[in-house]
Amino acid sequence: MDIDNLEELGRLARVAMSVEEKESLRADLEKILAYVSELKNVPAGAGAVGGAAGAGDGLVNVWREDSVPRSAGEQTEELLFAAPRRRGGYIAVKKIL
Amino acid sequence: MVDLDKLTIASSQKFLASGELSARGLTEFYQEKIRRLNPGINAYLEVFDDALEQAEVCDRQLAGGKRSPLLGVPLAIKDNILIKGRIASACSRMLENYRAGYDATVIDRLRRAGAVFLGRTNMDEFAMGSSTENSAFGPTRNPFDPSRTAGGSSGGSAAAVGAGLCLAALGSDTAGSIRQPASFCGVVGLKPTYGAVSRFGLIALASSLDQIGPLAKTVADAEIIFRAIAGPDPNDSTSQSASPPAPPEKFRLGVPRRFLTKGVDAAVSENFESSLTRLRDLGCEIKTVDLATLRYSLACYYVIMPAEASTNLARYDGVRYGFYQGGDDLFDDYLKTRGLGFGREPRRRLILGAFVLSAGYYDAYYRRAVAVRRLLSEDFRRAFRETDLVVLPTAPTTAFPLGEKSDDPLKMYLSDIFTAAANLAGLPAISIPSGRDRAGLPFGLQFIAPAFGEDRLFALAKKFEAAYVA
Repeated sequence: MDIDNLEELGRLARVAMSVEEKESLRADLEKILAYVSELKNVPAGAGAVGGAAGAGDGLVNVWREDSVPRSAGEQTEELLFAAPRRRGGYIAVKKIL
Repeated sequence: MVDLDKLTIASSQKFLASGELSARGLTEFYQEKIRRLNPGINAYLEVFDDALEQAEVCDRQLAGGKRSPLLGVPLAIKDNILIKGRIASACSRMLENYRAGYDATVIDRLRRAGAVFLGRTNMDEFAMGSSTENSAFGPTRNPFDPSRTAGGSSGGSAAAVGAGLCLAALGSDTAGSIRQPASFCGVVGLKPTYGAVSRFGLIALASSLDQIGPLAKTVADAEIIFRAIAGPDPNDSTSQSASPPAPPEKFRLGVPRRFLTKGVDAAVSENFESSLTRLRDLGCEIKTVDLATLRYSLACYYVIMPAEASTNLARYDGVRYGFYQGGDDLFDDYLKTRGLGFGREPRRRLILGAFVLSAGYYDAYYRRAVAVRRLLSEDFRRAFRETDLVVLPTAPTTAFPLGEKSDDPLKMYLSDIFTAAANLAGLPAISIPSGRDRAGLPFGLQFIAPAFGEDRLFALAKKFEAAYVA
């Protein structure tokens, strides 16, 4: 893994890194990836490697009725209370376009 | 006179019912001990100012004749479990000032059962770690030796129980975060079956692995808390009830011998062998089981967990709650907020998660890990055809010195080598004290049961405890 790869991953993960940190993170990640690469040695049959997580595990989906459990505005204050920046009844963010 | 240091949840009820002890008196006892001992241990981050009021409500209920196994029982709560109106920071700068808007289901159930919440306990940031050294608020120290770690990530809860700063505590376990610190601090820790306990109100790390469970002084106490918090919850669609496999008359125990040949301290191996002898003396039959995939469980975990963590922690963006650091534009806001708000270990795992899920690597890492996870579950199913429980040490070492592994993430990860498998397979597992090493540090012994087999864990752990734990 080179620094360019790491910077791309940082963008994907939305995490800023300092220059010194990039080098030590790169070294850590190489060690960790070398360790997890032993998964390649598992004598898994081709059939086992496939399908989505959970498929064939006896797992089932749990459904509920799609309904509106609360009236509009009921929890607005409770939820906005924690927002770092707000404007009236809205969360404020920087403009996107 | 009641000896409060020897009190258990089970024994407290007799004294509270007879009036020899009041919930207020018991709460004051712990508050005084916390004032005296917590500065040296750093198990608690905060002691709640309303604990005495909670206790007085319990005393009125006791006087009115109400009885419940947890009425008036002071508990400590891990900092990633939401209590309405209280800060729940997951020991991260990201959530340092976040106040919970609602009670977690486990808190709601304990509150109804009459428990008193003493305070919130230290942990590795977002439960990422095995030593509590990744807390943004300083490490927890081991009550048996303050130069050593209490384990993690529920190190604060384990140390609080081990040092007698509460009657019991709640923790969460994603790969051993209840069992390993329980082992290091000489207490009992239970990781319930996936789905046995609701996670509504738990700050999520890896959603296919996380479970909330008790840390307690005795197996009976862990069982009391488990029964109070278990059961389906409409707010957590992964919670369910199932008919439990019954405890057998005579236990057949499976030992995965091949997995125990390297990476284990000699003293831990020796203690494990003597525990097996004791189990044999208690009438158990000991067999060797294959569990061939077990040796890959930690590697499997370190692909699946970061993948899920990178998804779960995407919500911390400085927009809706938590820490915010402004940048040049919205994307830069995200980069700066998350770069500064998360500590080093979460950032490492977020990057790792992005890697294993990225195009070109998804098949080789994530998909492969999911397949290995399925093989591991099949291995356990096969093992449970001929055995009732699987037995392993809880951790490969006793409590290690602070700082010993903090610069080497892989070394730290290996602390979970014996515990991650139960989470990957969704199985219940318990760690119980099994003696001390020459320096007086506790060992832990782990039993793993088939899904919803908590009764089996309690039954054998109680037998072992009654025969060998003072």
